[in-house]
Amino acid sequence: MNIFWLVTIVILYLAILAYLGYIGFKKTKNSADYLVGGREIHPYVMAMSYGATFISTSAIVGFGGISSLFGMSLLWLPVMNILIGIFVAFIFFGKRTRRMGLNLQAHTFPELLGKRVDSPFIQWFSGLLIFIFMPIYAAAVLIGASRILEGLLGIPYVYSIALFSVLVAAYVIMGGLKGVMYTDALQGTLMFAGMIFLLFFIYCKLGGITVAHSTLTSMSDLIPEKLRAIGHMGWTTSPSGGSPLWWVVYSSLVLGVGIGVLAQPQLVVRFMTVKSNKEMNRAVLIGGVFIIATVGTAYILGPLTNVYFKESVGKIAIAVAKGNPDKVIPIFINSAMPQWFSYLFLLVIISAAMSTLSSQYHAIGTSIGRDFYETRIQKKHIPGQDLIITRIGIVISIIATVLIALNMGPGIIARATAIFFGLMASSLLAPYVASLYWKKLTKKGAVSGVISGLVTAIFCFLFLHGKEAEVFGICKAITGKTTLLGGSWPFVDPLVLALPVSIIFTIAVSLFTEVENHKRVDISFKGL
Amino acid sequence: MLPTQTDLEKNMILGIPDPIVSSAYIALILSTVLCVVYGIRNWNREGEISEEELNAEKEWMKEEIEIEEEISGGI
Repeated sequence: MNIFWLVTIVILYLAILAYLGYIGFKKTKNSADYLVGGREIHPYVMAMSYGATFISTSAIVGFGGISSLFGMSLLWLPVMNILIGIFVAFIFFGKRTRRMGLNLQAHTFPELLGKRVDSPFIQWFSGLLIFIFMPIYAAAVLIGASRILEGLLGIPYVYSIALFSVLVAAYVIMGGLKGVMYTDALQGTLMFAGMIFLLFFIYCKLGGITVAHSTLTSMSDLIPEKLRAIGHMGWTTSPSGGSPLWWVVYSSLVLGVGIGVLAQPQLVVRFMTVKSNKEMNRAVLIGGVFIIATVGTAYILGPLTNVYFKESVGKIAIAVAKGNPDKVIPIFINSAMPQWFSYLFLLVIISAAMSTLSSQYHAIGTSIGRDFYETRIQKKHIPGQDLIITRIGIVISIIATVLIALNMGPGIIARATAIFFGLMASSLLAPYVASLYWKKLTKKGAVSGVISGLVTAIFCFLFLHGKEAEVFGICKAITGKTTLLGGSWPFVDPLVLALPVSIIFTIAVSLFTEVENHKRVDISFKGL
Repeated sequence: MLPTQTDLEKNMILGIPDPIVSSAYIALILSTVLCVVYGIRNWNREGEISEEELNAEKEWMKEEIEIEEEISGGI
């Protein structure tokens, strides 16, 4: 790559982002201006913004890489992304969240949950959860971006992490979060265009859709023995039913990430900024098309890189990437695509990472400043008081993100994403759904739902789920075994147990207790 | 008895032998079509909001701007 052109393009791109950020900020500078001129946000901007926040380098680089390993059965995840993450999220969650957010004057996800059942505990506790665990997901996004810098520019991984962290920190400090909808929309557009090109390119290169898939089907004898042993039957075939790989693909990746999206704090707040249900309806159209173009492409491209590498270098993708699936997509872009596309793809990746990271740090900042500090420590809202805490919180979380990213092993992007999505869904999804739809939800019911889901999920991570139990070693220290149960259990995602537990506790405890604040329920459901 | 590779290849859709995987490919397209059809049918629906909702939104926006200021500084 020509470093002069690269630096010029990146600087130009950042300048455009800064300008768009400024325009967006000016439009919402005060509430009067906003009501006159800035109220209508174009559905394209709204949907692209949501899409850019939703889809990050984790999906493109991490899950694209994992699908090169596990195959096309992972296509059920983008199906879930569209049906659950867009259709259900906007129509059944978004519209109610928006109205309830206004009724309760809530600005964050924990605040919505807390105010709905009149429980400061839920607000500060959920805020603390987000502050503690969000860096795991942010690290996954950061690793994805850094692998691309490493793959395309040849910059060593550690330097790539440092470089990208500085870029993101500067973006956040310089006000990248302001007018974020407009910058996100540009970033979403770039992601859309880049990924569509990639889809056409790979199918054209490999002789068309059916030929490409058939060639991949015929390569099933090349599956590494290690993968075959855990149930891999081919890149165009679903893993053997009930095998370890089957559980990983369907419980952790498809179910965990597919459902987990509904309880993502940085996505829930997006619903609160929408101006009417009409925009929500329109965004369903644009969001659906955006997801199939971006994530659909990544999950189709991943498995097909095996065909490309087999034909070009005689090896399957994971062998070319020396065993690290996170490196498959960067190596493919570098070796298969024309150079001009590498420049564009670099911008796609910077966009995908920045839009998600800025929303994540936004969620982290509000969770520690507004949700935790104001509610737990200060116990009232004094304008400007939590400013220092918010900013210190963001700085700490950026440092934590970098440290986690540096210490995570290969192939970790998809796993780290699944852990965060699983934790959020296990603890917050059941109380969230009940908050939106069930007037009989009580404070005790919601608190039980959060705690039971979280405790079950953490127990599963430490004692049942193989990968994490092995890393933490607590189960081994206590029982002498890596996990408590054998068979397929070490591969079953914690969400499969934790979410039902949380649902049962939320419902059962609410049924046996009384709604404490009826007035709050009436306010919450006004207009719904 | 499990189907052999040849059996599967006879029933391939788009070069994909396993109906679970080819269903995912088709479901991906159909779910997008669902979103497109829903979006078109409801393009202009639910646009009106009440005076009371607008006032609530004004209040909400005031504080939202304050939060943004706290996070990203005064530049």
